[in-house]
Amino acid sequence: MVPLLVLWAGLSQRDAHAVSLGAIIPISTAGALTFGAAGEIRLWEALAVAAGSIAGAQAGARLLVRTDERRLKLAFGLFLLIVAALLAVGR
Amino acid sequence: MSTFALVALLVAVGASTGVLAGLLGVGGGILLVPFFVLAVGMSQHEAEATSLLVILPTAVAASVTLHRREIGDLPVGLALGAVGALGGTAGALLALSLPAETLRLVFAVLVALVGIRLVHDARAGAA
Repeated sequence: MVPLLVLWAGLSQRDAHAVSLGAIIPISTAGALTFGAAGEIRLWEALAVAAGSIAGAQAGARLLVRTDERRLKLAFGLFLLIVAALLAVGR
Repeated sequence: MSTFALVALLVAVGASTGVLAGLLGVGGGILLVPFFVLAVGMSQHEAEATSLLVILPTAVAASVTLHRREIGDLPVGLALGAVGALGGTAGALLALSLPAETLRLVFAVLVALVGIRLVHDARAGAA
């Protein structure tokens, strides 16, 4: 999502991160409803993790507002390289 | 592990994932799914399902914070996501028709290429 918005749509790195978060809302809603209907969600664990992640997300978003474009690009690029390495070794 | 320690671990992992999600504009499923499987002992399906229920409020919290600071464009993001939710179903059907190993490697190469490009751009000082 973020790479497409930056490299193809020409958005700034910061705006791309924000738009990506907005796009995740309907996508995760659809996914959670599908999995929820199948009875796969572990509600108790989800609530505990969400309690932390809601607070963390607000802090992360404030950090996004303050961080300059170049550092954001570098951070996101490194994040992707780590993800690629994890995928390549099969986690 | 005691219940208290488990809850503390879950909240802490949630907080770290939330910071990363808010900063990098990602959901955090790439971190949550392996954590749920390896550390909490969930099945792959339970892990994916549970992570989606975490990602939803995380993305809402970050989006509200950014929208208030006029960063990005929330309506555009929501519209993009609505299209993505439909495309995701088509993608899932395509993914199901490919061997898991092939899918994982194709995705890893794609992610690595984009990562190299972004690090290269950042080093070149491109804004």
